[in-house]
Amino acid sequence: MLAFVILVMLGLFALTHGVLVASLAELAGSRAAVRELEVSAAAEGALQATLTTPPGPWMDSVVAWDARTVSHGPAGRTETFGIMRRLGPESWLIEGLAQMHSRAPARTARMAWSIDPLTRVTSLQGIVSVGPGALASIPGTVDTSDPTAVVAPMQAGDCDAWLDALNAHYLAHEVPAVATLPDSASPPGLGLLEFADALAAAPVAVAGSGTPAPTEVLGVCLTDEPWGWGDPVRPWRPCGALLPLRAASGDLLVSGGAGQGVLIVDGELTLAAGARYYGLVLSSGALRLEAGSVFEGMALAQGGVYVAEGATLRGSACWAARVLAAQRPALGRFVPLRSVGRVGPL
Amino acid sequence: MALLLGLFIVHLGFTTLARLRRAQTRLEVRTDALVATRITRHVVRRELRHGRHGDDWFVNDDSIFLRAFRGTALVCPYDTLTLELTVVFGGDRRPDPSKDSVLLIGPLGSLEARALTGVGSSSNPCGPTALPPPETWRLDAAVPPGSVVARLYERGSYHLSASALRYRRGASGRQPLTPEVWSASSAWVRTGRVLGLEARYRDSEAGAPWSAFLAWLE
Repeated sequence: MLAFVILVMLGLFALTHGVLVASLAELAGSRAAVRELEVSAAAEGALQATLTTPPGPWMDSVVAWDARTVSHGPAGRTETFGIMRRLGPESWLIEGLAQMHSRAPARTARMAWSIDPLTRVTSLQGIVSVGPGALASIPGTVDTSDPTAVVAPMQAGDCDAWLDALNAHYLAHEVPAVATLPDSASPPGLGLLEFADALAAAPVAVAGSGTPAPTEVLGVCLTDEPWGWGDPVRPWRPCGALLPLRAASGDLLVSGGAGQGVLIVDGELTLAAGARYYGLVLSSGALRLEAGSVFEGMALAQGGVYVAEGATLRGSACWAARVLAAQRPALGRFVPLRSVGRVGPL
Repeated sequence: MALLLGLFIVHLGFTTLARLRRAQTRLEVRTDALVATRITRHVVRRELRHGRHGDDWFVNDDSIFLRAFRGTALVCPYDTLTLELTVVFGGDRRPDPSKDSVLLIGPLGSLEARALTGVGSSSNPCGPTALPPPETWRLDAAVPPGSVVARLYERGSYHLSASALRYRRGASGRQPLTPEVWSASSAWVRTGRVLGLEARYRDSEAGAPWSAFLAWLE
């Protein structure tokens, strides 16, 4: 009898032990699954945070950069890293990495594009790029002879950062006055930055018609004035270094005055007599230079270009690169490559 | 009296043992089901998130056909021969020319696939020293100019068949990845923009039917 009781007890002990081991294994599996979910989510969060990091000039000088954060979640302490790795002038690998308790990290990555002023300017096929079939009428003066010349009002040194590369490019590739945009369906963008996104990126909008003029108060340039487009003819003044981004959601008429920067117009842009503009223009309509107006820089005008007799269009890659570089914080945000999706395993 | 008490103790002992054994069996069935569910969810989600629906994977009945990405290589700017790439590679396993292909990505997202024909070491430095040492990949056709990333992949397919999740590489056999717990009515389900798993268990003691998100259909 005693032997039977002992046998039953041993059987109960063995079975209970088996159940306990199975339960503990299941508990460990569940915990591992929760941890995996949590570090995956943390890695994804780090990736998204890095993708939305405001770009800056420092991006040009790095090969790889990372930002570390520590958070405490239900499953414990999680370390996350957002890593930017530059693969080419405009190509980036953005990685999110998360690690918990020194275990194997979760990693996720996307390829992204961010504007590089030099690459964007040298990719333009003409001083003015127009949509397929759009009219190009040029009775006025168009100067394409030296797109890298530093002439007044540009100062010596303003183009130094890009001059060697631009000279090398334009020695090998002659740039015509008018070229045709490859994509007829949509307004011109800048690389993977679509026209609508560029328009939305502008912090200040203008509308209708106006005359650009610098606005100074107590020796300080007011940068948010809609028609304050810098001071190109007096670069020593407080607004001389202002190279603003302005956008218009409709036709825009510039009646005299002088301005510099990047101008994005969802409509037709007209420079009337006496108006001078230096920089880069993106227009979903036509670019019209009336007699007595001057434009120096480069333009993408879906609706064509008209340079009236007495108007001057001088191609300047230096102006285009300079104003694009100044607007890197607004236009240089990362654009994930849609055709690729997430990259991995890494 | 003593005999009756003894028989009662014997009966009690056997009953307890039998019930505990049944509980253990149920727990094992349930554990197998949970393990299978977790593995399926983890493996398939991980595979699908590295690709794009339509381009890299698609669903057909009980099968998901896909480019199973096994690693990512950063392309180094040293290539002098058009059929060769110098790369820095990281991934789940080493490249294998007998079964792997390469998807080359351009700076604006262009995609070109090539077969991997050979792998060797490279003496060219490439990128920060923290990265793995560079290596040379030989391809079956010219490398598109400007390629910045090369993704290593094998062709494969996942199946919910014969009660388990199974993986089939190329034209080889279907290998089980989970315990055999699924009923024949388990399936991949497409609901709007979502691909999910509708899991039903062969053994009713394994638990109630269960559905899970796997990937976006976009």
